[in-house]
Amino acid sequence: MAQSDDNMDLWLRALSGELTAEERLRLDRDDPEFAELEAVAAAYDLARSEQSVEPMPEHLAERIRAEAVLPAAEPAPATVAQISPQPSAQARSQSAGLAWFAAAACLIAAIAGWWPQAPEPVPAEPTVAELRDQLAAEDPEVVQFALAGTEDPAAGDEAQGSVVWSQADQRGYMTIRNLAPNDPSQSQYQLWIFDGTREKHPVDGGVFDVNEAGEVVIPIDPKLPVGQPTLFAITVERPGGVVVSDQGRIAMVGKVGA
Amino acid sequence: MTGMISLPALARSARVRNNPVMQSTPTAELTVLERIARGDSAAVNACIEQYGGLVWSIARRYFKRPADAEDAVQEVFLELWKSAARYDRTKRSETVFVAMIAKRRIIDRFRAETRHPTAEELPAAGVENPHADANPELCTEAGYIRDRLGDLRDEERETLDLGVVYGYSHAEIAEKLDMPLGTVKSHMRRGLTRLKGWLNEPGTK
Repeated sequence: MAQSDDNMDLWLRALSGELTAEERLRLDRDDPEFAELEAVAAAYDLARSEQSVEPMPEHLAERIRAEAVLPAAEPAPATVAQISPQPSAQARSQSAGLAWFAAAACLIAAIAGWWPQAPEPVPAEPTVAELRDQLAAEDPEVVQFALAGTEDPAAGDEAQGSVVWSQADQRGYMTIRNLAPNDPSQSQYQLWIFDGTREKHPVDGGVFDVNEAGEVVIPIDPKLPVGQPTLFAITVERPGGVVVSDQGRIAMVGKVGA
Repeated sequence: MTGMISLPALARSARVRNNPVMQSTPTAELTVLERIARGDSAAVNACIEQYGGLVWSIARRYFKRPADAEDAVQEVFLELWKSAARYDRTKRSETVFVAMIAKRRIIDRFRAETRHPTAEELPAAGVENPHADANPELCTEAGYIRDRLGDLRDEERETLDLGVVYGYSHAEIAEKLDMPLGTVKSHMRRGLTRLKGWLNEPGTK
């Protein structure tokens, strides 16, 4: 093989799931040579185990079918005090339009001498979760991928999440579950977006906090344009975040397209 | 779990629009993942029918508790819906692609528990794959490897069996086979290199 010993060692340990958080950042699953090695390993597994295939339990098949056609139930997201989501331009214009419409309707009714018994309520501002779903629905090119916890204590055994990212709009949302709540006076979480078009440092994606609610939905608002997002990583930093992270504590990672 | 993957949205994706194989292949000749990538929701059931046993069997090798295996399998299929548009029939068979995704997800999930399956936990030999005849692609690469297993050295086959099939870490294999860690990696590397060479021979794809 043409690749270096270092690469091969990394790839072999990736195949057996033995990478550290830092190594996961280094691993490029889209590397054709690694993908080929992964396929060879999968073919070997098939060759050695093809005669011992058990049928999938029917109740599990039903569960998977349901998951494929029904949206997953999402608990109400916790609020994130440090981040004020900015509604999309369309959402803002819709809300403004509805407010003007309601006001005009009331004025016309008053002039006509008739006051409606049940005035049309003005719709509430969309939640962050609704804005996330709206983005996913509006942009057919939106990318969605999972975030996984690392060995960092903040991730524990159950931290998981997902990212919805619109490259066209340069914005997105993270949904994070079971990441350890932080004390903002001691530390804060910070998102970093690794950009294939930038050689040196990842792009700062913002600082955020996690409370006791178990689930947070966080708007992603990168400080710089992201040309080719390859990986999202969440680090633990001092209050207020940092300009350049030493990546000493990486709590979660997610590879775009993985 | 993440939310639903919209099949129509997948069908509109640039990856599907720009895939010349998918654009030139009649619908009747598309594989289930290609149909899913085109937004054919009926293919979801076909995919579960065709690959459910394969994914379930891989998960059962790693997870003793059926509930754990079920969660892992569900995660694999969610990943398959998301990855369907990335399947490229010119590179590898669909079965190998599904096995790749399944093993990647299952191993990562399993390794988070920092344990390995014991011999007692491994399920007894299952039943004949009910889809083997229905899917002639099932054993394209796997069959080629199976026919040449005798050409692998014993140490290569042992380390690959323990690492690739049963999910032992390199350190665990070293302990089990009473072999230095570096030697374990060397055998695995040589074995995978040999397999890769066979699969790149003409007529194997």
